[in-house]
Amino acid sequence: MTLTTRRRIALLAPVLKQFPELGAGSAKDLADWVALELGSADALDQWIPHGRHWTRARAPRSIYHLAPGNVAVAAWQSLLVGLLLGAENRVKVSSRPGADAALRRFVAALPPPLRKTVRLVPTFRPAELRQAEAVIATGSDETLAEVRRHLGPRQLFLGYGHRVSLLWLGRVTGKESALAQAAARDIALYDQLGCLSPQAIYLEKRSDVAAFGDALAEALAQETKNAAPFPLAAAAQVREARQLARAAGDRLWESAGARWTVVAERQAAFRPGCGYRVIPLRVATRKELSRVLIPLRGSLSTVGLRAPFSAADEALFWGLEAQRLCPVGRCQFPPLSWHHDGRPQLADLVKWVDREDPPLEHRRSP
Amino acid sequence: MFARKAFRAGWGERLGTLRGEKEFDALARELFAWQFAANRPYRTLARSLGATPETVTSWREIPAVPQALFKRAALFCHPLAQARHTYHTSGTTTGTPGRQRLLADDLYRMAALRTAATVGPLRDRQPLFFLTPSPQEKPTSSLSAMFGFFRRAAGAGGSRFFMKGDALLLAPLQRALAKAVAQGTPVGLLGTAFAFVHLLDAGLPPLRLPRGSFLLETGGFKGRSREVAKGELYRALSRQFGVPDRAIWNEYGMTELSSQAYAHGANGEHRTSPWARVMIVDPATGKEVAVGQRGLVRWIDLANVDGVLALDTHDLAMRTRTGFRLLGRLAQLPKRGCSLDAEDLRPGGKR
Repeated sequence: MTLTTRRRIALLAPVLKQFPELGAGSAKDLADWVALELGSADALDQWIPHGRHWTRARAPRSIYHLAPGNVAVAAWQSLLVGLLLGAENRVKVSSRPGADAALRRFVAALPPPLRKTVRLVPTFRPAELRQAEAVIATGSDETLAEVRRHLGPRQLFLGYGHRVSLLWLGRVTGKESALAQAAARDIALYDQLGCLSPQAIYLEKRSDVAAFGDALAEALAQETKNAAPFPLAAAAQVREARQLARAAGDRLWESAGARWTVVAERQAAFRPGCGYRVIPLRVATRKELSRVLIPLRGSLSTVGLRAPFSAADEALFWGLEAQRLCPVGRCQFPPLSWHHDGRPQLADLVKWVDREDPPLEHRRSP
Repeated sequence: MFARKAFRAGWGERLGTLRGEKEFDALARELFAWQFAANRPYRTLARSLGATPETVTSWREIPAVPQALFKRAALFCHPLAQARHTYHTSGTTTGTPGRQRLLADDLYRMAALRTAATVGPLRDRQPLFFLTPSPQEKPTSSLSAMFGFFRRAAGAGGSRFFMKGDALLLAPLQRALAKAVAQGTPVGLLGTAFAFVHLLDAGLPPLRLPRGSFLLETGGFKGRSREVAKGELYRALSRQFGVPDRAIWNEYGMTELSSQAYAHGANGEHRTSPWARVMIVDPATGKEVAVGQRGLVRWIDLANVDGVLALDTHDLAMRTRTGFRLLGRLAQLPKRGCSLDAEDLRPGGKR
């Protein structure tokens, strides 16, 4: 028997309590999200008013998810969308050893009626992908292009490509420990590997970089005190980043081992970071920032700002086409209803069926 | 110092007669002092680590630069305009090649030839067939340059480069190999691992190269389409060319350096010349690992006078009692940004 949206929500809500990273605290949160994107929480199950007539959303019967292996929450989000829409979900898990553990934990926590709609597959088979009505993938632009190559002409495709996030803190006049702690939270989570992980912190000219560097170092030390050591390959990247910074004459704050690194860079130009909690502090005026970040236009995801946001900051990042502005410390916690890469997550997957009888004036759903 | 030809020649002689730890240490610190004074990015790096000619008390304390620094800075101890040879690194990771500049190729030539003759396969003069473009065709390739040294110093008549651009000159190579077989002349066949795979894929009939022949493969498969595990490659080469496993050599060197290490057989340990050392280092601490532990390769190369003598690589190795066993390139990390691995999209494929 097909489950209604409200039934699926009732089954999902207790599970999501175990996964607070997804930002859904209750069944109401989920119902509100569906209502926000589809006009009604019941839009998938019954006709709802639409203009002078009626309409009803049809979800894809099947979704093929290409799950990222490095950030668990991104894979959960993708699957949550499929579960909420009532699709059959086939999830290609990462082949990296151990990378699918978090996803398996999520699936194991689902109640049987939902669990049976999920199948994890370790191997990519283009034929399986082509059978799905919709495909969701997250990865580099090249990877998404490769996925597209396998798609049929009628398949819906949501591809989340390369994105960059950063923090702009304006003028920092001293240690500003609370601000540093919030920034450290954004940096430390998911080992700074996610699309929403800041890759750089920009401070306004005449900021006290040394004092803020001290504060950030303290905050990162606190934030990572129980973190597991990085594997060899990651430690090598961190070491390389530190040596490059030293050779450039940049000031460095660093943990013993490879846990975290802060680099006060002399150049304001944006350069992709290596992740693993290596964070550059760069100084620029607003005007310089608007120039050096131009190459990121179209791929700038989240910008963490001091709250309350100033009109000048808002104008700056509107001009740079950032997709999300949030308070520092909240980069990794977008609301359930956020526009992922600027697009609605549920609404982009459904198709609408319109019904023109009975006329809407009767106000009774057919 | 190293700007003078006579001094370079003298340095080469000192390296050639170098014996023992104490002498190595003295020369290493002398070279470090010169490079510290002459190479600004290296000096900046060393200073920030508190390493100066006054504070460094052993060659093991000499700071190493990451390979990536060659892509960002000119690591050259002379005015840039004086560089007579500039070799490019592959640049497969960032798209930007690094540059190794030499004032002269004298010490590179000396190091390459003596190392290949003492711990590598270059013993007797014999025909050498190279699966790379010639140094004239590709002057920015340090490998082509080295093979050029080999050809002049140890190549008998018929030695030749069998690559033009990216194309392997298969028919002439086949004729040259067939002639060597017919005449019973031992030959050396030298090229990148990728070129050998290409050769295997060409579907030549199996050969039995005369006794005393050797194969030398170098480099990896970075950015190429087909990778083959080392053991598998050596077995296939052994079958194709009729040479025993021990006659297949690996040359381990890099553009940023002047010296090399050699191993033979699929499980061979690498050895290098007395003026070069390899340390296996834990990247989290920068310290040398214990025997039996894995870490990353750090080179200290006293023939590399014009750039930097100490280099940190991303090559994974195990420290052994007598040297090191190369395990390959460090595994690629997942890309940042909620990434799906492109390799995951190989149809039906596993990593």
